[in-house]
Amino acid sequence: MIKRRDFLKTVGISGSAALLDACTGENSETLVPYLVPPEDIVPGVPAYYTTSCRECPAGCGMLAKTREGRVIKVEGNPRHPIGRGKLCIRGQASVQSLYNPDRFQGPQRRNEQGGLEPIEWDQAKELLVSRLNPLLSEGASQKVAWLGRLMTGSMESLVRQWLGALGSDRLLFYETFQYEALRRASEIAFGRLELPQYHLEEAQFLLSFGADFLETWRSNVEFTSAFQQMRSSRPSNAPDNFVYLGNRLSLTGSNADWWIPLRPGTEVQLALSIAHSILDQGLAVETAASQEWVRPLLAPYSPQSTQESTGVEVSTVRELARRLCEKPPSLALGGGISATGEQAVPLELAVLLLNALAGNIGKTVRFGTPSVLDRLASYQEILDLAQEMNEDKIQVLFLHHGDPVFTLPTSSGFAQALDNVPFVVSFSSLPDETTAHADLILPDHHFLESWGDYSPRSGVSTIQQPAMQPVFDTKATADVLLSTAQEMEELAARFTDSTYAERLRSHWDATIRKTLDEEIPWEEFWPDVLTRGGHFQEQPLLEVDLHNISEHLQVTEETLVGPEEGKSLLLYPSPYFFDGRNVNNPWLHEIPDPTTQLVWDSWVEVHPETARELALAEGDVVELTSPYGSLTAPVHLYDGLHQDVIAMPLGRAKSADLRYASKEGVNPMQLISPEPAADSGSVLWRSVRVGITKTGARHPLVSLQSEGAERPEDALVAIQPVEAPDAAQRIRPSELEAPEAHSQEHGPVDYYPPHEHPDHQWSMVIDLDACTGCNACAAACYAENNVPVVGRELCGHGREMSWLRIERHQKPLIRETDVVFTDRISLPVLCQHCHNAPCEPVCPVFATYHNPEGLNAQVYARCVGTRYCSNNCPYKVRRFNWHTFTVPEPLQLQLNPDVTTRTAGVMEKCTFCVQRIQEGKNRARCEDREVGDGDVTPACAQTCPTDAIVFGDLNDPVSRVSQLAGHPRNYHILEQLNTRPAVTYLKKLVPEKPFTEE
Amino acid sequence: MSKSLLLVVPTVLILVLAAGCLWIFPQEEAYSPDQPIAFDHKVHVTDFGIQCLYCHSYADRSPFAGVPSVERCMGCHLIVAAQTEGVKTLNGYWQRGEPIPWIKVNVLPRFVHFNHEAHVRAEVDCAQCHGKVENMSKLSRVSSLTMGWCLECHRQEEASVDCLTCHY
Repeated sequence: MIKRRDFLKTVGISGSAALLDACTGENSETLVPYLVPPEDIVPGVPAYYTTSCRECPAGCGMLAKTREGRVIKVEGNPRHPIGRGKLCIRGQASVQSLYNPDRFQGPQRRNEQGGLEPIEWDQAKELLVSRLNPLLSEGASQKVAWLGRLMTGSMESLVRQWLGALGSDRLLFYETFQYEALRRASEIAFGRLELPQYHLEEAQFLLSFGADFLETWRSNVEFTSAFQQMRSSRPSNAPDNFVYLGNRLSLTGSNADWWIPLRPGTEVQLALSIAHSILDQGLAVETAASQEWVRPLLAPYSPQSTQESTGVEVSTVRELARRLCEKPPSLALGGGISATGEQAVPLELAVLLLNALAGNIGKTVRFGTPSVLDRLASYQEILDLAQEMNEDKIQVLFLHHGDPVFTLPTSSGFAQALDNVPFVVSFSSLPDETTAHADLILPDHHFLESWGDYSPRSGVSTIQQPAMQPVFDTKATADVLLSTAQEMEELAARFTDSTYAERLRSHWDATIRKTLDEEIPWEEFWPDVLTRGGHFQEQPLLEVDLHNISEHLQVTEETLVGPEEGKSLLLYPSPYFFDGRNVNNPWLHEIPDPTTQLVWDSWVEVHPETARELALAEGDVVELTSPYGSLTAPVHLYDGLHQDVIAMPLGRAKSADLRYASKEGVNPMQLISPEPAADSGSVLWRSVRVGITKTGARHPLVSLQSEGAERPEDALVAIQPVEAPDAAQRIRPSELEAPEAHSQEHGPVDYYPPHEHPDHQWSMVIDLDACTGCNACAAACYAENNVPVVGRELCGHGREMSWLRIERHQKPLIRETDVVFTDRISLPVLCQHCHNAPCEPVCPVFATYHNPEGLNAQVYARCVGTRYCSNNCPYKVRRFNWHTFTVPEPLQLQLNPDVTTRTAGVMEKCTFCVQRIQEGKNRARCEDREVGDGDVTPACAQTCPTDAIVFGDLNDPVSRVSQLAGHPRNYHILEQLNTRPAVTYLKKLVPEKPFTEE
Repeated sequence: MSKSLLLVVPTVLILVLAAGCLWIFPQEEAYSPDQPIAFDHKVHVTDFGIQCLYCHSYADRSPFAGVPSVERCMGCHLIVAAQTEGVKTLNGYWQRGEPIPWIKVNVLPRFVHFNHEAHVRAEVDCAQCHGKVENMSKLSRVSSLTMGWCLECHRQEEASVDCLTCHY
């Protein structure tokens, strides 16, 4: 029988013998120099290239940060008028499109078995030339067509010229989300077939009939920062200046003060009744009110007569009319995608009329700056092309980005039309539902690898530069066209530029430099363009007059096809995936959806009342059937819906060979009508009623934030929000007069003296009134700090690794009246860097401590993984590496070399981007100066389009954080625990009174 | 187990451990791996007077000092000493377009972020950490490069000893 003492001795000594294994001796690492060093590149120092983001048509200016010849992070370009230094979540995640492991790594050919096989570029070109040459000799015209994403400038001119040389002008620009209805309305009302430019920043009151401008509508980064300007200038006694009208409370809607749920199809009547009320109350501007057709048009739409169908009270309509006119200018925005049904054009007309009556034309609604979106082909035109394809008129079809088989209504038969074309060439980067029909794939460079130009609106020409060598064996489409032309006798003479880069330069020389008022030599012009990011020129305002719109404003009952007892289907663009184009970017799946907090899935949103009627629980799989198709999807209960409506996001899953897209490919486009709208030719997004039947199967959805409501047993674990539902995050204007004296109220005597911060005291202020919940900061943090993606199952176990999360604090929507208080707060939660940190005293190895500059430091090398710190943290911001997470190649190229990658067994959390702090301090020291305000910006603060996050040095009395820390709206989360966080939050301003006085 | 065995086994283990440690961490012998080309710092620095920063040109403007590009070597060696073995090997790399895979001598673990620029600007002489490289025909590591060794100088010079200075 061994004695305990002897046992411990033996174990102790043999244990130390085991340590021998850990001493591996010197690790031999190679030090590889350059062969020939590139000019101006210093290893270890980042190089930035200006370019344009191409993740959506908005075209924000971008700066690509590269290290040792590879892009590791993207930021907005501060000198670019669109974005102004900010990027949205899609832009931040674009590095994952660049390094996507599922990208086509080279050209592919469809073989006899129907699969794709890789070929060399020479073979690919030969194949293409062999299919094009016969067309030239036939003298065939219009046998070639091009369907692709928007192009402008040199790229557009090249493609048009190339197609022209092949005898065709069939070039169609295709985007899933089009704005035909608004264009037609502008033409009818003001004689301008162009999209109006909206200046939200100048509006004193904003009314949206469903346009989701903070997410996907037109140009979300630009609108978001304009929105913030509008919100920050609102008078303190009337903080509610944004009302959202619609069938579904989107993220944009939850940033409104008030939501008026509308029955689908009643939007036009409501808009006209508001217009009626404006006239009735004598609030309209002379120029509009004096037009003789206005009164007769609006006569049948008094608030009293529309009340029954819209469900909106007379007093509410009167109040809306009053607010639109009392402090000019205001702004009314039309319907977004979801409200685009048969009544799309009448709705846009009615809203333009509202703007005219309120005197907004020429102020917040301006003409004279056509948008690139004006060039989009309408859905009708796409159908016409499909018709030609079916009639064997198209011999070769070029598809340049976009996934029309996925994003067009499935029952329109585009896939079948594709199959009828003898030769389909795709330039897509990723496999998708459309490339499955292609015969030849010539993968284009990613926009970060390629030259180009893009003009999102007139007056803004953005240059696109390659920020690195191509990751794979891809070729820029423009170069493919040029080199193909060289191989074809008839074309060779017309295309003399050997590369697209040359052609781009000569195009800019001819169309921009030579047209400037002042003569600038090329040697001065070009470097300026490259450093600024493009050429920008303000466009003059165009005066317009209001025309008679009466005969175009036929308000009819909206016909929805489908079962009588079914619910109206509402498709909405996914805020992260847009139309599904970045469905294979893992960060976008792991970051919770802003309205539902769900991850890694696609779902159907059903109102809890409807769910009760149909005996549906969260996670039940239902079958949705419309006259055009059916699909199955799990149910998510969401009370931000009109009860007649069920909603589905578009683009969260595809049935293609993509490792991150949800395996249960669900495409809501299968359900909607293939008919185009008669007046605008656009897709009838709202066109069907769907039947809902339980399938009996279950698919528990993973939510990263529990609702606190009852959940079935198989529901997966989720994290509680950090603050209680009744937390004092909101403040009324009347309460602003008496700012809480925090230090006195929450100042028990501390056991230890306060920390000293002789040099810097880093601190952060987050304005909850500015945060929209867009999650761009979360993606920026993932990108900057090498935060691992854990996948669906581990998220379900509560093990996601996000250092920064946006919590959705949404109280249940009270529907007593027709106007609902949205009461939502988006709360960014990150390590608070407490001065009285509960995590510090419990670490047995002193791996976490309060550093002399105010940060709560986490030293990975010391951490042994007891996880006591995370247990003690009341904010639950500490993340433990339960596994060593790796990424498939080439995603590892994105990793930031300045941030240590962590392995299993180590705790990690927000560091206030300490690598940036060190860099900022180093820079200042080397330049022999002090660190100034703005020298150090964490990734989250840098990309936030509303500047809700402000970071700086509290020791610097003129820094922005010093100014804001004493703000009357300030508070700390979980203040009562006396943790003394370095992060101060500013409460959200909420309305004092209900929307209408009654 | 018998009492004597209980004494013997741990003792043997200790001896093995000690021997192993001495074998792995020999006291006076410095780490000096063989390089793909037997580059002689003594010749280049002492005999020809080339300054550190001519080759390790990033040391004063980047966290990494860097090693000279093959092009820099060829700047002289296209002609100079072209008949020697070493330069012939060098030329081979250059002709093949292959960078030379030097073996790193002064290696720090990946979780340490050392910044050369800061130290060079603080007027820390290269020799303080790297030793008298001008006398080394074969480069060896003369400092232990352990954290304790770094802290000695940091404490002496009153530089930051905060963990986050290097560990983040």
